[in-house]
Amino acid sequence: MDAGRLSWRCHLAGLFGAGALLIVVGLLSLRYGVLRVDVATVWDAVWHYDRNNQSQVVVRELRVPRTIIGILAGAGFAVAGALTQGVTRNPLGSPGILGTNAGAAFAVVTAIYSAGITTPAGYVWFAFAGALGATVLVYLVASAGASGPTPVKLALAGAVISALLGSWTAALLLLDLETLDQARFWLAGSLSGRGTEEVELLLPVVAVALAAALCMGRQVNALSLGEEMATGLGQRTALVRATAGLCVVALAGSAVAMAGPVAFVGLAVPHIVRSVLGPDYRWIILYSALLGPCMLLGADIVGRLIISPAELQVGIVSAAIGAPFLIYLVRGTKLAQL
Amino acid sequence: MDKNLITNNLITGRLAAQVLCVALLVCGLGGCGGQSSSATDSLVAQGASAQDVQDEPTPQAPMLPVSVVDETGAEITIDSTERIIPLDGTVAEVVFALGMGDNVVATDLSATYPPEADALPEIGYQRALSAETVASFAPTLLLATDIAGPPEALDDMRRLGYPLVIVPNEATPAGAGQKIRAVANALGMSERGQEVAAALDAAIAEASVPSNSELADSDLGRPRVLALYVRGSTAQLVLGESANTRWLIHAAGGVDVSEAMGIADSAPISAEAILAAAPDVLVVPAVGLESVGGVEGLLEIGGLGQTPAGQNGHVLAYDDQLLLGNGPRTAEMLAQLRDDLRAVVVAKTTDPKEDS
Repeated sequence: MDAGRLSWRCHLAGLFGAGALLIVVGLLSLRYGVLRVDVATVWDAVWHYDRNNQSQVVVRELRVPRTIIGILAGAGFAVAGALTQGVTRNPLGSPGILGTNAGAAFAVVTAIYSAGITTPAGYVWFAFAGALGATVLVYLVASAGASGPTPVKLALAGAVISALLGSWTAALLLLDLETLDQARFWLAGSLSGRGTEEVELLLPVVAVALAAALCMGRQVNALSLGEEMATGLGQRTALVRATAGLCVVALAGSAVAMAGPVAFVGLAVPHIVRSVLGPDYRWIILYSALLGPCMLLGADIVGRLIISPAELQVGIVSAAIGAPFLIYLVRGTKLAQL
Repeated sequence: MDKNLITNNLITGRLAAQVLCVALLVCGLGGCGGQSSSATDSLVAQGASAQDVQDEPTPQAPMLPVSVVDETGAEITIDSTERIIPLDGTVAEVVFALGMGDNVVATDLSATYPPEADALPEIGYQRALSAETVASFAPTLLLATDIAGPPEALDDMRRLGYPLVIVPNEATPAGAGQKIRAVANALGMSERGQEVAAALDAAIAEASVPSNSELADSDLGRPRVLALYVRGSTAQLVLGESANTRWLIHAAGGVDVSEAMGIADSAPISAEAILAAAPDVLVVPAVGLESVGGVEGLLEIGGLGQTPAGQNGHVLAYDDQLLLGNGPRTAEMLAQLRDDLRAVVVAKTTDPKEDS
C-alpha cells in the first residue's frame, strides 16, 4: 500500500473529483433549506437578484453568506488541522489542541457577559482575538525551558490553557443564564446569523494563510519526519514551525470567528485524506482545503433539514456525521501513520 | 389519599359552573400540546369566559404605516399587519385580544391560547427559531419578547427585512398592560391598546389583595408559597424574582418564599433550602406537573414531600401560559390564585390536624 506515490494522473482526477464535490455541495447549500426554493429561483437570486421576491431574498441574504462562510471556515478548520497534525506530529492535532476553540469561546462568552454584545456579527472580532491570544499563550508556555516548544510541550500547554479558559467559560455560563441563552447556539458552532460584512474583512486573512499553507507542503513533510531529520534535510525548522503556526492561527482563528468552535472538521478531514493519500502533506493540505468545506457545508445542510422547523447546529451535525468515518479508519488501522 | 383533597376541592367546586365553557373550548384545548388535565382546562376556561365578554374587539382599522421604538431601542417602521407572526405565546394572545387574530399566520410552540392561535401552523419554539422557517410564512410583522432566540436567527430575520419588534416582558403588575400597549402600537392601533391595557390594569388592581387586608392580618398570616418550574427530571427550578409568579403571589396575598431564599432568576431546587423555606403551598405550571407524573411525582422531588405544602397536598397547578405569560388574562389568573390561597388558609384554620 504505497499510497504516497500516487501518479500525477491519479491526483489530477482526485483533485477534479474533490473540486466537483465541493461545487455540488455548494449548490445544494444554496438550494436546500426549510424554505422550498426551486433551481430557477436560486439562479435568479444569484444572477438577477430581485429584492421583492421573498424566496430570492432568502437565498441571497441567508444561503449565499452561509455557503461562503461554510466554504471558508471548512477550509480554514481542515487546513489548520492538517498543518497542526504535521508540524506537531500529534495524531490528535487539530486547531483545538492549540487552544483556538477554547480561546474564542472564552472571549465571546466574556464579551457577552461583560460588554453586553448581543449580535453574532459582534462576536467575530472577539472570537478572532480570543483564538489568537490563546494560541500565542500556548506557544509561550510551551516555549519555556531549554528544549523550546516541542510537540509534546505544545500539546500539554494547549490542554492546560484550554482547561483553564474552559473552566472560566463554564463558570460564566452557569452563573448567568442570560449569557448562556445568548451564547449556547454560538458555542455549538453555527453558520447562520452571519452577515457578509465580517466575512469580507476576514477573506484576505484566510486567502493569504491558505496560499501560504499550500506552499508549505514540502517543509511540513520534512518536519513530520522529526526535528533532527528535518534539520538534516536542510530545513530551518524554527522558521517553518513559526510560519506554520501563523497560518494555523490565521486559519483557525478566522474559521472559529465565522462558524464558532467546530472541533471535528479540523481533526477528521486531514485524517480521512491521509488514510487515502498517504502522508504527503503537499497533497493532504490541498485536499483538506477542498474537502473540509464539503464536510462542514454538508453537515450544515443536514442540520437545516433534520429537525425542521428548528435547526441543528453545524458543530453537532459535523461530529455526528464525521465520527463514523473516523471509527471506520480506526478499525482499519490506517490512522496512526503521520 | 386525602393529601390532594384541597386541590381537588378547589377544582371541582369551580367545575360545575364552568361545564359550559369547558365544553365550548374542549376541542381547541385537546390539541394544545398535551396539557389536558381537568385542572388546567377549568382554569383556562374561566379565564376565557371573562375574556370573551371583556375583550370583544371594537373594530378599529390599524393606522399604518407606523413607526415604533422597541425594547432594544431600535426604531422600526411597520407598513403592513396583513401577515403577523408572534414569536411568543403570550404576545400571540395579546394580538388575538386586540382583535387582530385573523392576521396571524403562524405561532410558536408556546402559543396555547386562544385555541385559534394554538391551531395555527407552528414555527418551532421561540428559543430555538430558524429564520427560514419564519420566512416560509412570508410575514409582514414579527412580534417577540426578549426570550426569542437564538440571536443568530433573529439577526437573519432582520437581514431578510422583516420588521421585528421586541416588546417589553416585565414580571410586574404593570407588565401585562405594557406588553399590550407595545403590541398595539406596533399594530397601529394604540388607542385600542390603551383601552384594553387600562381595563386590564384596573382589573389587576381590583383583584389584588391589599397588604393590610384581613388575609394578611389573620393569625395564620400570609400563606408561604413556593413557585416551581419543572420539566421531567431535567429541569427543576425555583422561580424567583424574574418570574411572573413573584408579583402574582404577593398580589394574591401570599409570601413568595423564593424571596427570602434570595433567588433572582431561577435556581435549581436544593432540598435543604426548600425544607428550610417551609412553603404552605406549591404553585406549578400544569404541563410541568404532568411531566413529573402529577402531584405524587412532584412530591418525590428532593424535599418537597416533607414541606407543609407536600404533607397537606397543597399543590396548585395552572396553565403554563396563564401562569407565566403575564398577558391579557392576568387579572383572572390573579383572582384565581387569590381565591385558591384563601381556600388553603381556610383549610388550615378548620383542619386541626394540619400544623402551621
